[in-house]
Amino acid sequence: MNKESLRLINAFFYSFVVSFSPIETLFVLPIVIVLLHEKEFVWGIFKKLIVLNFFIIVLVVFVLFQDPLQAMELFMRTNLILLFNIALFYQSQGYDIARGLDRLGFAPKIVSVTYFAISLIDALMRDFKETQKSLKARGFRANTSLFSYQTYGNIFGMICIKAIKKSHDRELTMQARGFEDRIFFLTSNQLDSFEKILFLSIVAVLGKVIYELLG
Amino acid sequence: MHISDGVLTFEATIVVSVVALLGLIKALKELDNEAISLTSVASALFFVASFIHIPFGVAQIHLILLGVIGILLGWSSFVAIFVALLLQALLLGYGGVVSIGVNLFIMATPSVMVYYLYRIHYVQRLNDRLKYFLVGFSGTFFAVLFLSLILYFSKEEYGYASYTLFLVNIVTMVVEGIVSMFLLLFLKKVYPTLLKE
Repeated sequence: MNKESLRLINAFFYSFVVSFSPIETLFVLPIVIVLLHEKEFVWGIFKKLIVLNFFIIVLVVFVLFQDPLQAMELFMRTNLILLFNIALFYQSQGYDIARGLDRLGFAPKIVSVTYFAISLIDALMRDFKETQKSLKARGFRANTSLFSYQTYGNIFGMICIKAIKKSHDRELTMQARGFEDRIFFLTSNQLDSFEKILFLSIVAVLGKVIYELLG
Repeated sequence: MHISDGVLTFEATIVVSVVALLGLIKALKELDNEAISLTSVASALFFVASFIHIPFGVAQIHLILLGVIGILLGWSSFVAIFVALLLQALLLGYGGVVSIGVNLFIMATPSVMVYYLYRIHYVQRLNDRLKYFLVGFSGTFFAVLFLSLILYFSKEEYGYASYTLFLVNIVTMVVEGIVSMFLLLFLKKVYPTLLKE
């Protein structure tokens, strides 16, 4: 078990417990622990949470007309999970997720696709931003027209081909190094006290939920 | 298009996730080493598409490109979309780690359906523009249909939300169809070997 894999386990268990059990005050405990650990980024984390709430609000509003209590619970539940996961992975670059999946015993092909996809996402985003800049310089303004949609289609096509070429080059390099379907990671972070305390807090939450269910 | 954690019931989540898991296992068995790079590209493209907003009137639409991914990858779409959904859930907060199976079913099943529909002899004989429009349109159509049905059958309270989601997303289906059409026409012109027709 390494730091990254325990982080994934924490995310899954917390989301699972909060998704399927009655709301408890104790659900806030793991969030407080994560937010204390990420205290420098609290503003950014809440900003992200507010943006993501636009998607949830639509569903909550519909439920609100039929069952206000359910709507409130839905809002609380989804926000608790979102806040926990956003805070937990706020500083993640993605590669730690690939390492975590590898340590958890996920299929090597999934780990490889995750690793390659993360490296390609950076390249695709860079390519898209550059293309956007050059379109702006040529006076292109996106609007509701066939021309705009054609431009977007062509941009997607272009970045797709660039990504395929990059990915193919990478594949050849990997094959030259003897890659079959598995990536071996050299670095692995040891468990630290934060991950352990967080895990214990989630176990406490789970214990409370089970106790309530049985009691 | 993503269902967040905490929205669906336990039963709905488990049943749909098991079906998605079967699809993922089949996809992993069929995925060979040569296809890993194209699968990674599709995964990255799906992830990046969620950042790119296409204007429609005063609103903005983001693409999901399920049809395009489907005809490029077939069953491997399950792997590409699983990875992208996992990264979206953890890095962006879209969807969630518990509902990932449900979201995988909603998005990957349409991709595979489009893959098979695209191979029908009659569809192959259609005009390129119409054929590629249908690829984009039907990918989103099936995804929205599955999303609405899952919401509808999960909880009684989601009834109105599921109808409205379907109706609102008709526009998304059309825009997705048009952009996918131009994307595939571009690929056919520049990289014809990519589209196995």
